[in-house]
Amino acid sequence: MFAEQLLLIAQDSVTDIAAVGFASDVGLESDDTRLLRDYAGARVSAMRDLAGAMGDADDEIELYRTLAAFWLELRFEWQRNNEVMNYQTVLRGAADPRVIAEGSVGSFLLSRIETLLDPSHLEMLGRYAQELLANERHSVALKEELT
Amino acid sequence: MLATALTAIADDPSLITDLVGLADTLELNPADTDALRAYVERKRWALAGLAKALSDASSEDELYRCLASAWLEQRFEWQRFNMVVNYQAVKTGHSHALTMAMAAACTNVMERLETLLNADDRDRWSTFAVELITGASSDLAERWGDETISLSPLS
Repeated sequence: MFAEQLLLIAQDSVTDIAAVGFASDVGLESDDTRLLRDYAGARVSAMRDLAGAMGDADDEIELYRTLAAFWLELRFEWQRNNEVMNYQTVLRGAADPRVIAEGSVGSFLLSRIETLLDPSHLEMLGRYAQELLANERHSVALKEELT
Repeated sequence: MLATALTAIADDPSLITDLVGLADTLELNPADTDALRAYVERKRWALAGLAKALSDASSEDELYRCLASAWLEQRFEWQRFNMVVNYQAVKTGHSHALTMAMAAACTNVMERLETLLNADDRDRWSTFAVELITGASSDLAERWGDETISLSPLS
C-alpha cells in the first residue's frame, strides 16, 4: 500500500538525526538547532498525517497526487531558501546558517519523497513549477516595459 | 518598495495576536497552542528573511518572483491541510484541531501576501494548484491518470 510506503519514509528518528547533523555542519546555536529539529519534525508529521488521513486502498490516487503537491510545496520552499542564501552570500559574504540548515533539511526530505514518485512525474512537476515562475519573470518584465 | 511592504507584513503583531482567538475557538490544548505559535513564528522569520535578503531596489523583480514562490508554497500547504482535514472529517467525523488551526493561520498569511501580488498572476497559480490535485486539465490528466500508482517505483 502506498500509505505504508509513505509511513516508512516518515520516520522521526531518521529525519531528526539528519537535522542534527546539518545543524552541526553549519555551527547552529542550540536555540536555532531546536527550531530546525521542530521544523523537520513538523514536516515528517505532515507526511504521517497524509498517510493516516488517506490510508485506504481507495485513496491511493489522491494520496499520490497530494504527496506530489507536497513535493512541490517543499520544492518552492527550498527554492526560496536558496534565493535567500544566494543573496545573503553576495551581499554579506555569508548566508544565515539557519537558512542553510533548513535548505539542507528540505533537500533531504525532497529526496526521501522522490523515492515514492515516478521520475517522469517529477520531471513534469519541476518543469511546470519552472514555467510558472518563468512566466512570472516575463510578466514582471512586461509590466516594467509598460510603466 | 516591495521589501518594505513585506517586512511590514512579517512584523505585524496581529499575525500572532490573531492566533489567540483562533486557539480559543478551536479549544486547542496548551501544547497545540504552542505548536501553532511556533508555526506562525517560523512563517514570520521566513518572510522577514526574504525581505531583508532582497531589500535592494534593483532586486525588486526577483523579490516579486520569490514572493510568487512563497505564495505557491502557502497555497500548496493550505491545500494539503484542507485535504487532511476533509478526509479526517469524512472518515472519523471530526478533524484534528491543530491541523484546522494551521490551515486558518496559513490562510491568514496567504491573504496578506496576496495584497502584494497581481490578481491575474495569483489566479493562474491557483488554477495550477487545483488542477494538480484533481487532474482536471487535459494536459495534466493525460499524464496524470489512474495509472499513476502502478508507475510508482516502489509499488
